[in-house]
Amino acid sequence: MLECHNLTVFRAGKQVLNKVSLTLEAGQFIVLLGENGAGKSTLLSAICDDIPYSGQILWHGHALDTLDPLTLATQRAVLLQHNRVNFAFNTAELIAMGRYPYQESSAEQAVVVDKLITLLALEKLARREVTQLSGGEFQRAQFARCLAQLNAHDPDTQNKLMLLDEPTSALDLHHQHRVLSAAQRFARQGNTVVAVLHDLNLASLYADRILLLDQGQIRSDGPPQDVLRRDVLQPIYQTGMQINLHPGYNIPMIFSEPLTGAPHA
Amino acid sequence: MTPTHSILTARHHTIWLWLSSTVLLALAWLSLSSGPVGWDSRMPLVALLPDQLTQDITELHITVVTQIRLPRLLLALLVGCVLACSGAASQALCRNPLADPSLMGVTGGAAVAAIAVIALSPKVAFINEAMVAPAAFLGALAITSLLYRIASHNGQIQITILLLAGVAINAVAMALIGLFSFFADDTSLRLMTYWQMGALAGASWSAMQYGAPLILICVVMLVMRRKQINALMLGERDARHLGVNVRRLKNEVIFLIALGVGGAVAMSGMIGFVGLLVPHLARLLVGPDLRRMLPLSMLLGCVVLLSADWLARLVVAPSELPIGVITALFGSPFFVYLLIQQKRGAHA
Repeated sequence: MLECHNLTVFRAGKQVLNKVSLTLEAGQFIVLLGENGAGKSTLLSAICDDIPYSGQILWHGHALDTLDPLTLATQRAVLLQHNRVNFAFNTAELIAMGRYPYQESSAEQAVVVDKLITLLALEKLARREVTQLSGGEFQRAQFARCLAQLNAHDPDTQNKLMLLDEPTSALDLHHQHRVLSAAQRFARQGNTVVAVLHDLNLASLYADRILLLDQGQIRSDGPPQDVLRRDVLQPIYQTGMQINLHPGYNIPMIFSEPLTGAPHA
Repeated sequence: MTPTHSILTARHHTIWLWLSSTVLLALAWLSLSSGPVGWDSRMPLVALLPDQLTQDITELHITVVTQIRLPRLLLALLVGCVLACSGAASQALCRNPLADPSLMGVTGGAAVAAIAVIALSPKVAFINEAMVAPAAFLGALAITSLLYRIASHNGQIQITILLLAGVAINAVAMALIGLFSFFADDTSLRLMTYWQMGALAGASWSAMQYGAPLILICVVMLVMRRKQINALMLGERDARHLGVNVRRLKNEVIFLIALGVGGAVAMSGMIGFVGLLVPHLARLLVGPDLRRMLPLSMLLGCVVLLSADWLARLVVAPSELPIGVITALFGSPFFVYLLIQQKRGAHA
C-alpha cells in the first residue's frame, strides 16, 4: 500500500503539485489523467523519488528514503518516458538488466527473460539491438524489463509497485492492449500499478480507479464511470465531447469533437 | 537450455578472449625478443631454458631484456589495459561511445600537472620524481570532475558540450605546457616533449613503482563495479530505480578514471585515442555488456599498445617514433568515422 500525504512540488518557482494526499491499494490498476502540465508526471516522479518534494510518501508504512535501495528495487519498478540507450544491448540483454537487484545464475535469469519475452510477444525483437528498435518496440522492451524487475512472470508475486509514465505513447493499437493487459493482470494478482495515460478510452477500459489531475490537484477520484463524465471532463479538457457506454463492456467511451466546424454530412 | 539463454550468451566472447590472448602472447614474445641490440627468440624463456641452449647469450643481452625490454613490455600492458578500461568507464559514465579521456582533456590535465612537477623539481627542493604520478592523478581528477559538472544537465550528459569543453581544456593544457617549457631546463624540456607525444621508451622499474599501483587499483575497482556500471548505461534514473547508488557510483567512477589516466600519463605521457578505439572494437565483437566487454577491452588495449609500440620502433628504426603519434594517426580518422555514425544514428 502506498500513502502520500500533502505532496507539494515546486518547479522553477511554480507550484506544480499542491498538497496531494492519496492512498493506493494493492490489487488496483490506477490511471492518472489530466491535460498537459496538470501534474501527472510530477506526481509519478515524486512517488519515484526522482524530484524533490515536501510532504510524505509511505510504502507499506515506511518512508521511501529509509528503505535499502536494492530491496526497494525488488518492490518498485519505474518505466520512464523519453529514454534512449546509446549502447547496442540486444532486447534480451536489456530485459535481463531488470534482474540487477537479484542474486541468481545466468541460467535462472534466462528463464525469467524467456517467460517475459513470450508474455509480451517479443520473440522477433529478442536478438535485435535496442539502438535499432523503433520507439514503440523500445518501449515494449523497457516495459518487459520492469516486469522482470518485479518478478511479474511469477503468478504469486504480490505487494509490488509498478509506475508507468505514458507506457503506450508510442504503441500501435494491438500493443497498447497487450501492454495494458499485462499491467492489469499484474495489478489483479495483488500489486499496485500506477500509469499516466492520455487516452481516456484506454483508461476507461483498463483502470480500476482514475485520478483526474488539474493544476496540481486531484479534481476527481474514483472508478471510470464516476470520473469519465462530461461535466467533469469538459471543463478540464475544454473540448466538446459525447460520452456513450461501450456496447460490449458497459463502460464510458468518450467521443471528442473538433474545436471548429460541424461534423461532415 | 532455453532459447533466451543462448541469446544472452551468444556473443562468442570466449573465442575472442582466446584469440586476443594468443595475439597478445605473440606480440609480447616479439617485443622481448627484438630490439636495437638484436633479435633472439630465446630471450623470453632465457631463465627456463637449459644452460647448453643459452651459452652464447651475453650478459649485456640479458640486462637489456630484464632492464629495458621487460619493463617496457609491462608498461605497455599496464597502460594499454588501463586506457581501455578508463575509456570504457568514461563512455558508460557519459552514456556516449564518443567519450574518451584524451578527447575530453583529462589526459591533458594529467599531463600539465605531471609536467609542472617535472619543470619545478630542479628548482623547488621538496618536489621530486615520486610526485609525478600523484600530481597527474590530481590533474586528471580536477578535469574529470569539472567536465562532468559542465556537461551534465538533469542527469543527462550533453556530449557536444563535453567534447567542446575537451577542446578548450586541451588548448589550455597545451598553452600551460608551452609556458612551463619556457621555464624548464634542457633535461626537463626533453622529458616534456616525450610527455606530450607519449612514449614507452622511458620504462624503468623505478618509474613504474609510482604509476603502477594507481593503474592496478583503477582496473581492479572498475572490474568489480562492472555490473553497476552496466546499469548506469541505461541512464541515471533507470539505474537508480534498479537499486544502484548512482551518486556514489558516479563519484567512484570519476575517481577511478582519474586514477587510471593519472597513472598512465605519469609513466607514458599522453597517448590518445586508445580509450576510444579499443572499447568500440570490443563492443562490436561481444556487445556492450561490461561483464564480457571489459575483459576483452583490456586484452585488446594491450594488443593495440604493443602493436603501436612495435610500429613506433619499426617505422624509423633504429630511431623510434613517439607511440602517441601512431595511436593518433590511426585513432583520429576512426573518431571522425564514429562522429559520422552517431550523426546518422541521430537522424535515423
